[in-house]
Amino acid sequence: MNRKKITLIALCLFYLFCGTGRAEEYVWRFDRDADAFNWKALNATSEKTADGFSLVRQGEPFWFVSPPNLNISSQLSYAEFRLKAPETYLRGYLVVKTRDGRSWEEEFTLGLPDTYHVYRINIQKGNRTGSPIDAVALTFGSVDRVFLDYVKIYEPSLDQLMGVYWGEFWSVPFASSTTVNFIETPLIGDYSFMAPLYVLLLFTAFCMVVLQRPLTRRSVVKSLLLSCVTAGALFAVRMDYAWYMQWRADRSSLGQRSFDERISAADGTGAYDFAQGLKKVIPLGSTVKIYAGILEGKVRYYLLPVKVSETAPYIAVFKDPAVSYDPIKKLLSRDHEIVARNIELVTAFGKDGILYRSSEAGHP
Amino acid sequence: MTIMMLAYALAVPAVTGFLFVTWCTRSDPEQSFFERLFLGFGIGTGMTTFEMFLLGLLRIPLNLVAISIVQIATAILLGYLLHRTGTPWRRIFGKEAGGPGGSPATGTRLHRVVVIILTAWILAKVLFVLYEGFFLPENTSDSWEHWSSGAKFFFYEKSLALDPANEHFFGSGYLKVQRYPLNVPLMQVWVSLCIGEANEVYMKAWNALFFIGMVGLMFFAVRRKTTLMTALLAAFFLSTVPLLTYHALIAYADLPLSAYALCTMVCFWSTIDALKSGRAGHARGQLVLMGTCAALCVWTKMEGLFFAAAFSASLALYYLVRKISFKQMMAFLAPLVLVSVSWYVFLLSIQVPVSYGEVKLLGATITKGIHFQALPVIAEQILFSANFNVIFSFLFLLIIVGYRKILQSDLAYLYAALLSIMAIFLVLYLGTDMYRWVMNLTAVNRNILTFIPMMYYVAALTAGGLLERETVTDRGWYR
Repeated sequence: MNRKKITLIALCLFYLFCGTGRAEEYVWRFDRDADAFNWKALNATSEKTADGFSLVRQGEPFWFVSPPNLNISSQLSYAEFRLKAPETYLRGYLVVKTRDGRSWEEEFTLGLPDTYHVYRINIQKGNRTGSPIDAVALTFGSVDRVFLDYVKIYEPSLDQLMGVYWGEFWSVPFASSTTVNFIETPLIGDYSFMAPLYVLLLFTAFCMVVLQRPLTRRSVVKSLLLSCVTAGALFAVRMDYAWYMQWRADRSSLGQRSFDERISAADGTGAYDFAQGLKKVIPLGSTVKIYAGILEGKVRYYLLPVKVSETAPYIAVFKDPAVSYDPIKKLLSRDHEIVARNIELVTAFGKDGILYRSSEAGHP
Repeated sequence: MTIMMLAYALAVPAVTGFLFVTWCTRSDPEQSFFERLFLGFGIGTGMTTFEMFLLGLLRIPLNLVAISIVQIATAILLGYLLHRTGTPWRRIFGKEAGGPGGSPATGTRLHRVVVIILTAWILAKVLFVLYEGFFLPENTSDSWEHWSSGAKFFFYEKSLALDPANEHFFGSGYLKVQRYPLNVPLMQVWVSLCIGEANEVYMKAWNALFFIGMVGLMFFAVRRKTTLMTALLAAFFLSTVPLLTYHALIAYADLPLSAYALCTMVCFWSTIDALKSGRAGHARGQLVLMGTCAALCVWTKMEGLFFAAAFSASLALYYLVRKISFKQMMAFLAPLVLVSVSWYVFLLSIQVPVSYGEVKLLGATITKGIHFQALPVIAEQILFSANFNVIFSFLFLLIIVGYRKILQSDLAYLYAALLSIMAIFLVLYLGTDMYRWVMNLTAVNRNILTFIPMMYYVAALTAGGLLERETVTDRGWYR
């Protein structure tokens, strides 16, 4: 046997012994009735349509919970599920509960809308006590409808793990890429993709130096600089791919929407819609006082040209649970402290926003 | 109508700035039409907002007519001055492109393919930025909170609200930090005045245009000194900086600051070039531009002061070594002093504190110890985060392999300015409470972003010199 054949056989044996797929895995396919009925939908109804099994939100919180007492070995490291949603820019969570009573959540960001995507989450990292998994649940944030194909918990083989890393490397975090402070760094396993890029840079430089004869200082410098350019170009491919996907997401999610709908979607908190509603009710030139918790600045911004004032006759409350209204005494309190008297309710905007009017100038 | 007025809002500052740059560089046939246009866009925008600030101080209502009159009068004056100095039309609008090295048509097949791919990629990136810039509304809370909220308020107020009886005196309650310079908010006010509404999308379109202007300026400024391939690579890599791209889609002030810093660097190199070749008149014009760009750094963000200090120090070094005239130094300092003094005297006059309340003086906090814990975080961000591409490793490598040539050439002055800025930030991070903003990653990457385009420019000039030594000895950075 020549050396090539021996190497080939050794590689095949290595591949086989590394395992091409462990036997233990838990799979729920929701096109089968039994699996779909085993899971419990909280505040949602399930439907079977031509597009597959779907869950429709009916209230808060919107969860889909696995059967209890699963007793899944903590050695199974990945949860994988395939779903599609009509929205993007939103986060969902996989909640994992172990037998020792611990639970934690792992975040995932939705991919392009109306397309099935496979999401893989390492559930071993959060399992600090190594206890068997008792149950898992999916929570869908503010998504109204999701189509779910399957959920799988498994220990990937080497080639599956490579596939997982490859998928993670190319995944684009649409929802979390909204900070001015940094860009999410793609990972390969637990490491920044910059680390293998530097290794590649040095390897390329070495190859160039070896190939370029004669070996001079200039050829070494040229090789190093060209390797940097190559590494930079590979970096650009990965990172500009993310912008390309961002463009696709924006085009498909917002392309057909009106100007107001785009702002409302980009806002994502309801503050814009609330402010638009207020502007229709509050007379021109009048002022308003806002209680909106952490969204106060945003409502104030969207509300312009209606300005805020400490002595405003109108009081707008938006998503602020600390504010309470006593209709009998006509008092408005915040953290049990009276902030305005002689208050009357003007109108409500959905369940989160209310506009009051005070007949007392300069309250209180 | 909105589109026409938007075009007007963007074109007026661009034309004024272009004429100003052309007037300052009228004796230099080297700078191409597009280089002057990209340089002029930023300068013209800054001039517009500073004029708006002055109008606001004079209690003249901020409206389209008043600002347009000042802008158009400035443009007419500059046009007249160009005409009076006998500058031919061909000089003003001629493209005058070109630099060392042959055209792509004469290169190898691989060379031509690479040129086509790079050009297509840059154009795709420009189209992406334009699409997102003119389509997506403002969606980053940091951005609207710090820069757009005050702009919207000034737009509806039609003034800087300097009446002491006003409950929202100088944007109080809307300008989150009143000591932040007004360049970015007033850019947004100007667009809003032109289109007649505070439009959440168009108000922030400036950053997309600054991004494109920066990439364009990088290409044309580098092309003047090195080959087409080096210039294209510089523009390409700058356009692929992820954090810069993200900032092109929002309205934060770090991107305009980085654009003005790049403009200052380009003008500094043109100044050195002019002085080296004995064109004193042209050098004075470039120094005026350099001073204007440094002034606009100050007018854009508080960190702009660091850039002004670093460039002033580097120019002072050049002044001491090469003995440039005092008049030339004044050409740099005059715009810088005019803008900086006006802004900070104004802040003091309305009793707005100009420093962060919680940050102690450097000497006082340094006695508490140096915050060395910030160093690994900074190293991780510049080497292993996906914010900046591999520019830090690349520039480090260039300095290692080319340090002798750099020290022997005038590029050392550009490096002095760049390293001074890095040193200022590092001293602040290690010596003051600002280290917290490194540890929680709130400011460190944005601060680095402000000098990233300068790094690409210096790297392109250095790499161009190292790789193309044979072809550029007559025009490049070798002496």
